[in-house]
Amino acid sequence: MLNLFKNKKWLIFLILVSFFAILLLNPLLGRTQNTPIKVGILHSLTGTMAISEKPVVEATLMAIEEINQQGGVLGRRIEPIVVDGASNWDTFAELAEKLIVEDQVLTVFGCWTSASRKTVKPVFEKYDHLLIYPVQYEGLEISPNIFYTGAAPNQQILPAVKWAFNNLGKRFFLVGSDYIFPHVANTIVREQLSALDAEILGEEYLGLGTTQVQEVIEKILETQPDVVINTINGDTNIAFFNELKKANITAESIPVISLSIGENELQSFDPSIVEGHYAAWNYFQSIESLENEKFIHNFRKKYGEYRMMSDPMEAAYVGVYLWKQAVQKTPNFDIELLRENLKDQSFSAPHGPVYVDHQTQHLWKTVRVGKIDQNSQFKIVWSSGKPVRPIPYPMYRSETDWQKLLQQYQLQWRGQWSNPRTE
Amino acid sequence: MVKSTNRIKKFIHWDKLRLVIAQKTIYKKLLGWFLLLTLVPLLIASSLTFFSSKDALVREINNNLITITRSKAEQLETYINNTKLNVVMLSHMPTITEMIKLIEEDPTATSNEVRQEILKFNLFLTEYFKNAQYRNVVLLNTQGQILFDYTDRQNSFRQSLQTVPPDSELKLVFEQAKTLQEVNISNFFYDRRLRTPSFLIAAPVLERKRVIGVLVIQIDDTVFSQTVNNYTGLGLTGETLVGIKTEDSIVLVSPTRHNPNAALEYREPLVSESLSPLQQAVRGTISYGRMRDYRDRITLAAWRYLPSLDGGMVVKIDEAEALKAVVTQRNSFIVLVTLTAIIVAILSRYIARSIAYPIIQLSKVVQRFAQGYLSEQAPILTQDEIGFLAESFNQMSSQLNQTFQSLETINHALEERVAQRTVELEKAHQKILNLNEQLTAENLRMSSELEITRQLQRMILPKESELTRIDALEIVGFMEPASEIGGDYYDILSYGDRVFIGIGDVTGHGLESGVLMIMVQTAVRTLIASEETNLIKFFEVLNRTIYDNVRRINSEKHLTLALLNYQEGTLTLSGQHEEVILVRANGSVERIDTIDLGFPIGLDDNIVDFIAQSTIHLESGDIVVLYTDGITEAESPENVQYGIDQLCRVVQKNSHRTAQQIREAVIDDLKHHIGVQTIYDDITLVVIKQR
Repeated sequence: MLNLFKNKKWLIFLILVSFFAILLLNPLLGRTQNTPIKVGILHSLTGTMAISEKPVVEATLMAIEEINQQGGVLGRRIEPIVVDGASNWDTFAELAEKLIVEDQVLTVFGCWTSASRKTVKPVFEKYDHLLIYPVQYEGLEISPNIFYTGAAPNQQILPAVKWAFNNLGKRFFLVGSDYIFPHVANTIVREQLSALDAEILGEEYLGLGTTQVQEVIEKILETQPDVVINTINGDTNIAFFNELKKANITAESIPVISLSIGENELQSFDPSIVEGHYAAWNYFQSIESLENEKFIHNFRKKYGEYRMMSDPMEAAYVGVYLWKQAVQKTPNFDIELLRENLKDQSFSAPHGPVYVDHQTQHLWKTVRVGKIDQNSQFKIVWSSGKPVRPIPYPMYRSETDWQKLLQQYQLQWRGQWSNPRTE
Repeated sequence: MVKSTNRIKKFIHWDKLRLVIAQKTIYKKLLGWFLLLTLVPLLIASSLTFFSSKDALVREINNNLITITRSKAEQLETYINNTKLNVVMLSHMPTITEMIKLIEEDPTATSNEVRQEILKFNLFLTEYFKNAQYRNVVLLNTQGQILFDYTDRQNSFRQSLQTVPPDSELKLVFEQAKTLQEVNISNFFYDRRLRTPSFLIAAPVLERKRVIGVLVIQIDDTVFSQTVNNYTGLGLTGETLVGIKTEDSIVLVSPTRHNPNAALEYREPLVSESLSPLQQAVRGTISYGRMRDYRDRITLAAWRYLPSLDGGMVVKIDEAEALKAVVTQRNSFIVLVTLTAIIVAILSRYIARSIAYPIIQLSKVVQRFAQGYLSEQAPILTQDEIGFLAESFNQMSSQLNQTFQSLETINHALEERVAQRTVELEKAHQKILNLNEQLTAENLRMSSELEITRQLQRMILPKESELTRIDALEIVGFMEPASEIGGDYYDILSYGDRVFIGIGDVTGHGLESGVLMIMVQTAVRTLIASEETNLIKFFEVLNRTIYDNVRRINSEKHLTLALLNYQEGTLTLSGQHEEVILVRANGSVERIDTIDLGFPIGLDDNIVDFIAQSTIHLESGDIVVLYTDGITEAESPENVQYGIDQLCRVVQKNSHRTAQQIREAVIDDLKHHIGVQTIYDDITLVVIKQR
């Protein structure tokens, strides 16, 4: 038998067969492209928002890396282009335009503050592009060009307030940073609390990044509310809780429910200052699920054993995967088709199942309330059990009325989305 | 697709191919290669087509399943959303608000007004239920107490308000509605009263933006199941599973096609080592793939998450049914390929045979030709190269045949001639044999004659006793004839004090030479006896005598002859012969040439002008040697002549010895020189020593 293979005729025959087989099979195998798919990552890497936004960038990049390791999307690598909005909303808008026009990215993952999002929204609508926004916010917005993977008001604010009303008391104090989210959130809270027949003892706003919180603390001490609803964003929170501690206000006496403090922000706190207070999120690191275990494990493997996970990080991570699933059904990479395909996606997220709501382009998310323990982790005290449908426009007002409210703020603030204080 | 290539390569049977290569007949070789070259590409092409079309079909089926899943999910979502909306709308109706407030004030319905209102409400609901297919309406206050229960309307006028049973779906859905202040759907549960699976939808009832109670509607699963169990596009084995998460398991909420009792009965754990499609679906994953279902059959399935129910849906169809088309296609491929293969095989046989046949025929003819049947002609069956070959062969074979034929004829003729010649040769041979006999007889006679002549020759030679009587001289002689008598002559005659010595050599060999020598001896003796002293006369008479005799016997022979005459120390020499060697007593050698002293005897009739004389004085101890050319021309085995010099040397060396001794020495030396060489001429030697 072996003698035959020395025969030249045999060799030629085999070569010819293989050649034709390969020739025929090639179109069937499908060619793989080598050009990567570019996406933009638009967050603040510097400035007051960096402390919150940098981990979100890391989570986004991790999701992209995981997908690339599994072979990419439609056989192509994803190439992230990371830019620094520097906590400046105009910079955000400029960079968004650059990413869309110059870098020609397929999608942008980004923004944290509503101000930044509102500033870039016109850019995305102008170019009919796609932004995936991972942070909980005040709602009152539906854009065909934005998908919101963070909580809508009814998925964080309303349940938190209701739970506080049921469990902490009926006398509320509202404090927040001076930009659109806290203002709108407090408007919603006010509507809700009046429906519940609860009391609002105060509503205060602090400039973004400020540490001059003494006035607010004094007011809280004066009014002695049952619960404080906190919508401060950024490192002002550090000053706020420090001052609370200094003023001998404990979580037992006046518990604070924060809507913008997660495990990440807790890292900057002395645990004793925040222990016993509350936060409301869809995702807590302490959630026990297979998906969450894997999520935490992978993140710590990549970024460090002592890193903490937070809701916006998870929302960013989930956003990338939902996007990937949609891209897989969009082989021509047409953004309009991509958005259509994104509307029908669901994913087994670390915090539970998420589902993209067609009408609002928000996610169905499970709601939870957590209590800060001595390890700067949250003990879950309440859960909605199953994902809640997103309602970006709370039912207290009509959509039109809500829009009017937004416009009022813009006017007040000279076209800005945050209060242009000079302090 | 890579798998397919491997499968294809296994189709090729290596053994068969080996056979193809190693075949020894052209027919089988052709057939083998034909089959190989047609069937292998056919197999490859049809396999590739089959696999690619199978893949296309599978993709098609998957897409179909995904589409069905999506549309069913949409239908269910729509149904639930619409139902929710209906409940919300109902919750906004003033009737509801009023009923709640009314019953709150008067829980036990003591007042008539209240009872009236309740009755009216019941009627209203009955109408409503007819259209909306609801099974129950419950009104609750904010504390969770049941204000109104339609199915319990007989007992609506009870003592006190009942609280919602804890751990019931009603309680759960009430809490959610109250906390989240929005319409809510419960899990499915089995209602024992209604004996059907059903679910609840709860909506908060608001007055002036305040929650005053919760409206709960109970709906059975009829419409739900109908939507789920619509088998359009799912063939005969396709079905839909809808499962909802409970605390510890996933439970199906509607009957399945294959298991009508599955609703609320069939459970799967929430998680397992590898997540089943249903487990994946309830966790939010959208996907598709092959799965082994609860009937242990392999199915193709697509699954997705149902947000309204917080559950999952799996749409599946038996792989066997789905891929029936593929199986059919594969079968038809196989049939097609087999048919084609058979046709190809048959055609190939025919073609191979038709190509091989002329070659085989030609080969057979050539073989027979090679075996010797030279008149074989090959049939010309085709017009191609084989035909040309056959033609050429035929030409060649007929030429060869002709050549052979003519060769045979020639051969025959030759044989005849040879036979003839042989006969002639036989005759000639016989003649020769006869002649040979004659010759042998002749020879015998001749040799006997020669023998006689030799004897005569010997008899004529002087005897020893005669020679010893000569006082003055020591004279010895020696003659050894050759095998053929040479005709050498020497004689020594003594008369008184005179001694006559003669030496001569007759030309040629044989009887004639011997006879001539005898004649010469007699003639010389006669002349000496007649005391002829005139030398010239002597020779003249001798010559004439011999010459005339020679003429008479018709011989060509003649002889050299030298005569020596000794008297008292003086030796006269005449006649032409060899040189005479004279060795003085002191050892010096002289050679006397006799060429001018005479003429050969018997050659010419008149030799008087040639005769001359030479005189030698001998002292005591002087030696004279006479010889014939038989000595000087005797050859060694190396064909070297003895030579006169050697003769002189030997004589000189032995000059102090007696004549006899000198003779012996010379003869010994000569014999030594000759060795084994043939002696062609008579050896004659006369040694004379003066005493």
